[in-house]
Amino acid sequence: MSLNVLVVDDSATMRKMIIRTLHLSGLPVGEILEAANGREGLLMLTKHSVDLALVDINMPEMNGEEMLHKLRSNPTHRNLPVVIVSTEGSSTRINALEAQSLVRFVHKPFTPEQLSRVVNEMTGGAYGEESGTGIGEVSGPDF
Amino acid sequence: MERNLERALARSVVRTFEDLAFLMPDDDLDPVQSNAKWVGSAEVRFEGFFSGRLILSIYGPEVLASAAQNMLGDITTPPLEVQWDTLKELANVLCGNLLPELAGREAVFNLHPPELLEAVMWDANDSAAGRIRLGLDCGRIEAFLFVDNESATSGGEA
Repeated sequence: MSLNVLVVDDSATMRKMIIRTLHLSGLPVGEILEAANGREGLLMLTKHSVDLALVDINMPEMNGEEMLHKLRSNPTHRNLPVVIVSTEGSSTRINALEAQSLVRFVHKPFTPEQLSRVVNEMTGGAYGEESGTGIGEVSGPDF
Repeated sequence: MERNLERALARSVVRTFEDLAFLMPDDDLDPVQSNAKWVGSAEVRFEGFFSGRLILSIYGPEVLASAAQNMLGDITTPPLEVQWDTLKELANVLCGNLLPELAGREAVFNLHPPELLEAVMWDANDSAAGRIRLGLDCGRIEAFLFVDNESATSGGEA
């Protein structure tokens, strides 16, 4: 079972880094879609089916919190696991985000192992390690 | 207070460059690093527990090229457009690392998307709450923190 992922970040550099980390994570990554802000991300979701969204908070046009709010008000995407990938350092805001169902937070920069752990916690291990590419074997640089 | 703030700023710069770009800044600058020419600056404005802006400046073209190359894991030097995006993201992560260190982890800030500055347009010596210079490869990094209401930071952890 492959994991189709939507990556939403206004920085093309950061999107590329996140995608590289995804490939190093040992998760069975399938199609990866990219969007530069929340509005583009929501548009992508109307056209494609994804299993996971990695979303930045601080973005122009529509930020990650607003995107998450709109996502949850749509029955189709109410149960989509969302990982907030951000520089956010406030425990107050992080706790408020993680209090929502199927929302987890990882701080930039993060490692492939952290990403894999969070995704497997959210999905009950549905996307375990790909055979032969176990997390413990990942030797790429942290991101 | 200013010295504490600058220590926090230096720690955050070092952490950001080490974790994100695998580069290790050093506070002992050699003449080449001290005389390196300005390449670019990125600014992040923020509001919340206190408000202000953080500016990250790069001196020496190799510094930004190396950071972009390392961040992306590219073998070749990324194009300039990508290097500017890298500079903005470094400033963004730096600001995200610094503010909780100054104000505590419970304080809430709203960060604006980072923007590139056209030139060095500020009089940092007069108005910056904190300023640091660190050497890196054949250039250097400078970071400035401007706080709109400086008294707001006196209750923080810095």
